[in-house]
Amino acid sequence: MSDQVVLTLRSVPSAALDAGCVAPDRFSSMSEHEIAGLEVWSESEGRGTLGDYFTVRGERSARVRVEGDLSRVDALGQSMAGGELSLIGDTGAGVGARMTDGRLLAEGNTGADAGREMRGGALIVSGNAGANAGGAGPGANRGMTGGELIVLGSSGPGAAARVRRGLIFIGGEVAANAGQTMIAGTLVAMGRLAPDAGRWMKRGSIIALGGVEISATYRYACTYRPPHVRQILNYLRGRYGVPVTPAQVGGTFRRYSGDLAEQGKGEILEWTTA
Amino acid sequence: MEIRGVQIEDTFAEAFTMRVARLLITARNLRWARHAADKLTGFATSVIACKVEAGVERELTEGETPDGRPGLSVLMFTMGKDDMPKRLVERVGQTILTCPTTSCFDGLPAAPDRAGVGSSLKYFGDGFQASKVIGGERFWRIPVMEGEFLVQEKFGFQKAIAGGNFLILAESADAALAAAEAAVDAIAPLSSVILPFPGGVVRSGSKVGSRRSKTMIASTNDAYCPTLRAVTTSALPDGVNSVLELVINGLDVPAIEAAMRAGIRAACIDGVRAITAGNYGGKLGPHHFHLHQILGEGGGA
Repeated sequence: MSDQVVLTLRSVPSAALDAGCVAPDRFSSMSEHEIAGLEVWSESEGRGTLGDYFTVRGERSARVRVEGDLSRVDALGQSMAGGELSLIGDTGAGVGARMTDGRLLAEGNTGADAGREMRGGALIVSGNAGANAGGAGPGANRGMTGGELIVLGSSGPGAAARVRRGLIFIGGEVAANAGQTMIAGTLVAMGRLAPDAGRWMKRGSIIALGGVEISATYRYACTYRPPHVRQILNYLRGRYGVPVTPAQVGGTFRRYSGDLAEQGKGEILEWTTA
Repeated sequence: MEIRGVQIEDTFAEAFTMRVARLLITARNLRWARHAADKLTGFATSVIACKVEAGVERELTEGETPDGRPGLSVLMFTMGKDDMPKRLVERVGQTILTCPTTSCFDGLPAAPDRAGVGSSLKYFGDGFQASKVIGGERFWRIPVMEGEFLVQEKFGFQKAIAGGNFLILAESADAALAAAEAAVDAIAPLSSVILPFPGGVVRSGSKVGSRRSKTMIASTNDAYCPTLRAVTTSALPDGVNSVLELVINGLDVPAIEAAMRAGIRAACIDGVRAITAGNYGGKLGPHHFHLHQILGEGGGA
């Protein structure tokens, strides 16, 4: 048993590499040899093993560290159910997709679909996230149904789309269509939200700390101090060290109800210093 | 045993097992948290007639509360496990939900039993309520005229002890009151305990049952009433003209022992003749707090 398992990418793959086998809870009972023998799929070379692309050091540990230019390595931490996974460097698509528990720290930028359909655990992205962070897969009705997705940088289009439950924090700018068709859950945006945020939302909350353009199908309700926002922001600051300010935590918010083209039970809460 | 000339009788306080919940009440400022807590803990001195016993445990700083606002911690006791959910819903619904700016959180997250509070109070929202899961806990947002009331879905409760006590036997009512106030002040900084009676002090200690009525479960403790010294079997030493009692409820035995120790030591002032404790011969309550053991051989003075 090792303190941790370390995977080091030998060289950047020539095409996308599906490494969905990399999950710390699975590694916790596997030898170094068994880990190296796990199956991966390369778009250019087809079926292979993890050992073909990574050097493997350590065994039988639920703490896993993956190093190298991982920008063409997809599905790292996919469906992980526990343990701790650290990804050092930019990563490809589908990081932490469908994860149910554990803690995944991506120290860099991630491709599309980070935390797609995640059900539990915590996914922390220290850089930017690509499109559809926390969203749903093609044809799926639901995006995230639980857990916490923390992106300290910006996010691509469609963040939090079709989320049913869970907490998503975006530290930077949020591209178009964030929270689209949200069923419930919470999206906190530190940076500005691009147009069409919350379009067709049923319930759910978008907390806009950096400005938002309100869709025509939302209606202003009131300006107040929402107690749950204070609770959420305090929690995010305490748990993840996100840089929300006391003025935001204790601040007043303009509440817009919507999407009135849907049930209208959702809300956009726009922080105001007024 | 004596402490500063005050006789400590060789007896024990007899206490009972109850259930306790801890409520964390936060508000815009301590003033409104206090208003809510005062109402929540009102008419909550004894389960003899109040159904619950409750009191403020301590003030909470902004760093100690879930939402980073000032607040108060309240302990609420019920006799039975089945009573707790109903009493919590009644009291939180009528006193915290109604109070401006407050939120209410569970203060015993690790307790084995869980009572649905927000999950019941949400119906006041008449379909407009909404929930949020924050850090794995569900909270209910109930729309009210002021804005929103935030309350945790479930509150933990656990076994606890009620009825720790001691009696201050004094030469005068003034001396008894001064000693009781000193004892209350000494206990106030301690956590995990409350003093459910007014100002922490009870003047009407009771005995089990009644001489005249079969339906009364408690009546005046005539053995300790100075005015009845000549007409009943009095337990009062000569020179005692007033008696006050402190009743202490707590989360566990060490908490009550610490409170009794601090309170008794503080109560041993001029004008106090003796300290004793209330019991029923050890037949009713499973928890016995022996004064000499709690205070140590030298009285701890």
